[in-house]
Amino acid sequence: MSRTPPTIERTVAAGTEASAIAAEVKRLLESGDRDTAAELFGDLVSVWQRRAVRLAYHYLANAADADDAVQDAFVKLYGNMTSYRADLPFDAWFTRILVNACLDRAKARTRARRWLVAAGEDGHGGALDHAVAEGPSPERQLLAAAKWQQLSAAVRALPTRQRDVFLLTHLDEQAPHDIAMSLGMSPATVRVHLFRALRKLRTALGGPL
Amino acid sequence: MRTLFDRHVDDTTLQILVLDPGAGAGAAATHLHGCARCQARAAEARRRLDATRAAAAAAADAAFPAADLDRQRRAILSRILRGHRPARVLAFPGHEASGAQPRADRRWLAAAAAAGLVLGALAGQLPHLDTSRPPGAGPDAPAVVSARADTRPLEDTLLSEVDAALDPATRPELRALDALTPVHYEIR
Repeated sequence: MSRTPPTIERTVAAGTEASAIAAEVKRLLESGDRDTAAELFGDLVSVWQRRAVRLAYHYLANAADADDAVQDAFVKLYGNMTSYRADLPFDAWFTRILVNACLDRAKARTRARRWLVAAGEDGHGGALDHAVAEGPSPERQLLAAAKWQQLSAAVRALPTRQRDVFLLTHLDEQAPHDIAMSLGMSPATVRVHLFRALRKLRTALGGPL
Repeated sequence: MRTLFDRHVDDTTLQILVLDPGAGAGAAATHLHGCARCQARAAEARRRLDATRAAAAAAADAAFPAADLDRQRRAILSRILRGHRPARVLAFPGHEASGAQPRADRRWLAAAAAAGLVLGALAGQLPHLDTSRPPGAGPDAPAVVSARADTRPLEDTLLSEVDAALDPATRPELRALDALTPVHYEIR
């Protein structure tokens, strides 16, 4: 069984490009050329931004929170660029920063909900509602979207580690080896979390994903 | 007799093998290689997973159109650039620095502020200039006069007490806050 869809190739290429840019940004910062470094960092944002937004959006299930988490992650990344190690994959490093930013945002949201009356939640409809409302879609897309809506709710109910692993594996198409580096666990542990996540999702959905 | 390799792969394992091809080293993967039925199931599982992945990506992309990504990118770069420069002390929210004003303007502004202060102080004192009787009162209103005369020391006392209460030297709880708050001669 070998699967190498074009998306994975693009992801790998983007990862290599991001690593090269990150190394250059680090060099510029160390040489004191902060303005050029910031400008080049904009390119790094462009390379990773869409992926980051998708991950954060599905992690937090809220556009405003995802926006904040992605911004925080990039700002934190820039603040730590001088500690970037070019011998390690940039993607794993940034994924960890992003997941932590999402966790922080989720915690902040939980704290805020203790103080605020839940007045119609966050004002955002489900991601699916938004997507479907954008325009007419073929029946198949709608069915897949409906399936994703169900799946998304079930994913949110997973324990944190299982959710992290499932989202990174399924949505971001990362290999267990990369996820292991991002989340600081062994590839075997990643596979265990993935197995448990799939089993729980299957139970929650009453059938295969 | 059916062996381990003869059993069809269960759905969860099948999805693992689809999501993580690198995991395909066990009995399930061996079976999958030789079983047309399980390969068809794997293809169907892959199609379903790809469809939900595409739907998830479409949902996220609809929530973040290109214009939002541009705005987000600008916000990130703006936050980064702000981090380069020294923080401005007590910048008023909602106002952007519009560069230095002409010196003459600032002189007029200062003069107008001073004039306003003087006028305000004078206007505040006017009601107290004639303390002999309240406006519109008849000749027999001394009790009111004496009550007003008694109020001023009370106000002074109250203000003094407030000052004393807020003095960091006498309130240890406020010392840390006082230490953190910039004072005018520290501001460049």
